[in-house]
Amino acid sequence: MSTACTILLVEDNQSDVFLVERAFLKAKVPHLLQVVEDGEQAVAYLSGAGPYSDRSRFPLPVFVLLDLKLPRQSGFEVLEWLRRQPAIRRVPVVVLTSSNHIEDIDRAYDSGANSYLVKVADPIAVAELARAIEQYWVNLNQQPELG
Amino acid sequence: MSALPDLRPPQAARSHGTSDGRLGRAVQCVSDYAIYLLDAGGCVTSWNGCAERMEGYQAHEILGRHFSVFYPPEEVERGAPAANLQAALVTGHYEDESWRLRKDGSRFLASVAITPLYDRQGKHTGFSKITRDLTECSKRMDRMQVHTSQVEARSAELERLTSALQEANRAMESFAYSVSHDLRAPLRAMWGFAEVLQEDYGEKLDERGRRYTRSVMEAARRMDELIEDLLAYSRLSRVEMELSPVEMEATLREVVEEICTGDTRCKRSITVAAPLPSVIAHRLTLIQVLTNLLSNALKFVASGTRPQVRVFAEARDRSIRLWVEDNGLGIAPEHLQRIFLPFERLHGPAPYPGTGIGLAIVSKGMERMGGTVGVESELGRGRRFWIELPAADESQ
Repeated sequence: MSTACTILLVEDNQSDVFLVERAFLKAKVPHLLQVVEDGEQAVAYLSGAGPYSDRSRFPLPVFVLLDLKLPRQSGFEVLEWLRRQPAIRRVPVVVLTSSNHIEDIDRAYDSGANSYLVKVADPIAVAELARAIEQYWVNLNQQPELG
Repeated sequence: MSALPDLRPPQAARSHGTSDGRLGRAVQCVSDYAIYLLDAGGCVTSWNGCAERMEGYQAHEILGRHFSVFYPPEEVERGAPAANLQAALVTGHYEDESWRLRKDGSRFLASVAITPLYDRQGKHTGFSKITRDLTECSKRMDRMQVHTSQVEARSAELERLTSALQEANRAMESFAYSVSHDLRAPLRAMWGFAEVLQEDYGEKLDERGRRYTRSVMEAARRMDELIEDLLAYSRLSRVEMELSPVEMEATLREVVEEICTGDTRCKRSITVAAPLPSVIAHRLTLIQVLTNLLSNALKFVASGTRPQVRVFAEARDRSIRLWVEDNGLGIAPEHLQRIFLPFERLHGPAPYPGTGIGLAIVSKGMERMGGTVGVESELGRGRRFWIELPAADESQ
């Protein structure tokens, strides 16, 4: 069941994409990582618009890993938009960003984030973060009903 | 006339050289007051010099004339002069502010007071009338208005500057903040890819190549610490700090747990002289201050020496001084004050790595909480750091 392990990563920094993907591989997260690079693409993917209309190729993710600083539309805008969509508003969103600014953290939760994680530089910590995400969001967390 | 006060012009009064001179001077002092005496019918029987200046009449022109000449025609027409005298008679006093006429026909705003006069037998003999020219007064008011608006303009300017300054301050802080964060993105890549290189290609590199890779990772780690400390320091300068009672003992236990992370040897090397009193502080900042003080105390010991840190409190008047005593290398007196400045380091990075910001964070944090910090030390005899904060009222 491929939809069970699709993760949508919204991240514009190519190095971060590479390192996150590698960390997931090493943590043996059974996943299909879909990557979009900005807020607009994230909205398009989640609403199944344009190039993302084929849900067998671009299934709805079990959760979204969302950066906040993004080109075109910020992570906040994506999050606020998502929570207004009746069919997909329950999709869990895990914010993964470089900011540990309390204003950003509060605003993310106010906008409906389910978790807030801060990007780390230390590769050991990155590996731990990937394992923790796998443990919690893939294995433990119960999925909501969509639609 | 004998029942009436002497209201001759001041010059006349002065020339007599008698006690009248005092009244004369008094009258002169209030020279923007025109003072008249009217008979019972309202005709002028006497006036002072100021009246001459104010109204523009000579004495001979006005004595014996009805005081309604001072009223503008429309006022005379509606019977104001007689009505005012009547009002004074009925109520014992009449006052108003209205326009009056000078001899040349020009008008001026005047404040007028009319009081009926009686002789010893209680017979009504006439009126005293005091007129004050408000022109100067209103000019002064105008000038005051100008001054007031200048002051207002300046305070608006000041407000604008203050808010510009606050804006600049915010911009500066957000600049420092975003620079620190933006620096982290390339740093993550640098550190992450060095790790990838080591993992995936380590076997293809010779020992020197692997050492270089480790150097890249080590440099990245130091830069990460530096950015973290800079962020903490700039955050301390920026955040609002609401102070409230904080339990020093529980907070300290929390900090020890955090520093030692389950290492019992580390825990054994820190002795806390319980009980510790509560203080007024910002809890998270106090945690940061204690964390930095304790890890600093554990760090600077001679190699081979087991660190021994003793924490105890001392009540001082209304504040609590918390001492953190170590058995480390100590500091020469000439360096004592420098150690609280950012980026000041007394040691090279090799035996005692660090960013040089730790104690600056302690100092800034204490300053923001309205507390103080200090250190006593001698080279080779360890150090005694202290922080002082207001005592929390235990009864509350």
